[in-house]
Amino acid sequence: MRSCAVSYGMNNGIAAIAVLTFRGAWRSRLTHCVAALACSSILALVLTARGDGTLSGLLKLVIEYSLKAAFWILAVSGLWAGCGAVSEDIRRRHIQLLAVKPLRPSELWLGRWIGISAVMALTLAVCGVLVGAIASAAMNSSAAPAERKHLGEHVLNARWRLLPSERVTRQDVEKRLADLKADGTISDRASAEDAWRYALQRVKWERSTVQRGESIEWTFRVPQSVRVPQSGNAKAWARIRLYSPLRDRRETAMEWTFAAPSGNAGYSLSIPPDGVHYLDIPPSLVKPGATLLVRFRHAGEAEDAPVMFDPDAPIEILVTRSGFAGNLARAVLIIFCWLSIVAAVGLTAGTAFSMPVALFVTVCVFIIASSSAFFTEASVVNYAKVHDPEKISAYARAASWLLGKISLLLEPLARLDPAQCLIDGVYIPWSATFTTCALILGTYAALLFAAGVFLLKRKELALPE
Amino acid sequence: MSRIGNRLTKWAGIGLVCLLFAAAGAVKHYFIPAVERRNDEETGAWKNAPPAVAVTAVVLGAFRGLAVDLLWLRLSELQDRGKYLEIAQLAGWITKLEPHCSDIWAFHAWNMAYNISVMLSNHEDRWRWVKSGIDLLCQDGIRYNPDDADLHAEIAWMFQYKIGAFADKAHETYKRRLASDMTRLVGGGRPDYSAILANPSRIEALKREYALDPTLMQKLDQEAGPFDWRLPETLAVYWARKGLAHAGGRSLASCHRIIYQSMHVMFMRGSLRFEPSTGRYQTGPDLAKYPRVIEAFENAIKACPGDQNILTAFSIFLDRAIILQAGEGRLAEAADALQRLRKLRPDITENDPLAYAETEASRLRQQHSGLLPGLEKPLK
Repeated sequence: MRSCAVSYGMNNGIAAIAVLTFRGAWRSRLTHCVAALACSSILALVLTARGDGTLSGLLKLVIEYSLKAAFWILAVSGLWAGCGAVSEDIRRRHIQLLAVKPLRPSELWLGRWIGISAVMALTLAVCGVLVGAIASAAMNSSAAPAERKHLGEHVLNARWRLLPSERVTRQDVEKRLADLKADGTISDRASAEDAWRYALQRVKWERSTVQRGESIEWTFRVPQSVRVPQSGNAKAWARIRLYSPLRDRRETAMEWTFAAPSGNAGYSLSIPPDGVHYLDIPPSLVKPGATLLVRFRHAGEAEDAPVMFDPDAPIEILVTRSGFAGNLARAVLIIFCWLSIVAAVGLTAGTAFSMPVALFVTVCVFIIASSSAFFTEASVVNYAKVHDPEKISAYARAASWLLGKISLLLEPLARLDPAQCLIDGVYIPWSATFTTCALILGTYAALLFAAGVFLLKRKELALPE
Repeated sequence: MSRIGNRLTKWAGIGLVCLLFAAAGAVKHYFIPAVERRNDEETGAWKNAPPAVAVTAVVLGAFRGLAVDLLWLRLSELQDRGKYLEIAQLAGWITKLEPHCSDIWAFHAWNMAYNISVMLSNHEDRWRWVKSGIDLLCQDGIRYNPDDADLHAEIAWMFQYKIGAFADKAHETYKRRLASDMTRLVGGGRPDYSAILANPSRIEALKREYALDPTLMQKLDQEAGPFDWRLPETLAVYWARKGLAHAGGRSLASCHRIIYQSMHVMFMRGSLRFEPSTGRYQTGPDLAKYPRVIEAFENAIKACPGDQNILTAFSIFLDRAIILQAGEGRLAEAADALQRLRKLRPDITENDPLAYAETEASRLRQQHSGLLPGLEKPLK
């Protein structure tokens, strides 16, 4: 063991174990099969995917599904490898050979984890290259120029996304809640949670509905970090999300004004007050550190209904930042961090239990964790609250509470969805990438590491027969 | 445990296993027919499935239903949030996991063609979703369920109502796109079948884009035509006639209804002038269809005796036929229609088709603000 570490120029047990693990996994047929499966599933998706009929839609689907397929395949294999790494050492009596070396349990755990993660990183990188190649092929395909232009501008792009600084504050909701209670709209019998949710929705809808002749304003504070490329290819858009409860509404006249210290721009449009619309604006309006004021006026005719914006994302400003390749690399890096957590879960479980038990436990944890958000939303308790609040069993309450806590615990992991950013052409900043990776590795992985080392230290290693 | 104890446990275990085997043997005759039936169903179920679908279904085994549930939940959630990107893909997977449940095919095709399409304001975007719904049934649904008359009727209804009728604001776009596609595929309204059948790439294109078989098209033209294949009603008749071969009961009535309604519509506005370059799409009455429409109604009456709806529809058609034909100077046909109408409605005493047409036309014009029903909203 020591000689191995020295030969790699690292007087370090971790490196030695990591190299051994990597080498063992790299030679394994299972690893080759997993890599082949991940790559072939991506290629199969390209051949079989059915989008919304546009090139952009198809590519978005392929990118999202490819990254998800690669994640799930590697996650399962990472769990398997993690569960087997220490538990199989113990079962095969190899652990005694390691135990007599000058290796601390922490070095053994970390070495195994780094080794497994490195194999996953390599496979994921291959998948990432494949996704990049598919995107490049789509861009150079024989599709109509308009389709390729849309693809290049709105999908294979990395754009700054600026959101309006107006937010619904706690005071706003409290004030509206009091009004709604006073006028009897909210009954006294309604639970505090339901009443709050209703008042919040009311505030949001009231703020995003504009009557004829009225106006609404949004303020965008452009961060200092936003650098608009000086090349002639720089572009900026306002992405407007309109909502209508009725279909087939006639086009409505709208006036948009964009005011910034560097200049103004005004547009008069007549569009259906429904769906997502892009408005090209001069990129010069977006200056780091400056404020961009966007004003909308409903200029429709007397019989036109109010214009309603999506209450959660009424308008965004998108500015060209860089290309797709760098964004893909950052997305892959975040996915790799998720995978390393999965491997750590498997490794810790494998330290505590035998391989089959560890695998069963981790698969259960994995399924519960990945579906906790969904089941919290669709839980029996939520259903019964509406239909039959008296009949919520203690078991249902406990299960709902537990799922809610798990969902809350894992919420930071899901805060940044790299695949969604990627297909939306939204720039994933390096700062957000590092923050996410640091959060994942510094908290979740650190906790699992501590648990794994603790269990390994307490593990009773039987003598070989 | 002692050695004797161990041995005893072992033999007791072997004894229990033998006992269970014997019990299973004794009751097996209760289960064998069910197992055989299920085996037959399973073998048949994947008969037309491509290897990927068959393998996935077999590998998933009993979890297939669970996978369908999860995919369906995701589809509903995405649809509620207005994210339609994955819908076609998810619908494709769901239907392929339950390939022999025609209700599932019909639901997802309907969902795309009717529910999702109308959520979009751009008419070209809408057409893509209508086409996706039709494709789901034509390309895959029929492949897995070639003998399902209900699916044939669903496809026919989409052509007849979604594209052919005026309910959707984007119906003009649908009609133009269909006419444009069919012009490209068959070279105009009336195909030159010898040229198409001699060219495998054209046959393949027809199958790929609208799942049409030129041999069947030719047969239909000979038996009930000639048809203008740029019209949605012609495609409705094609699919309904295909479905008739497998229809019975409710589906038989559905297929016949689509046929006679579409024929009626073609009589009223089946003469099409379409210019792909300018998008001009103009329809007018196709009075030459009269004997074919009569045939369609008579076939339906014969197949579904006692169905009052067919008789009512027939009398409405005859009423309109008298007016239109009398107006165009086709007095023999108008007289024939009046004769048939009098058989259906003994309360009519008028013998002169011209007089009947005049009275009836003025009554209808009063009712429908100056336009004859069926000819309203002409495309420009």
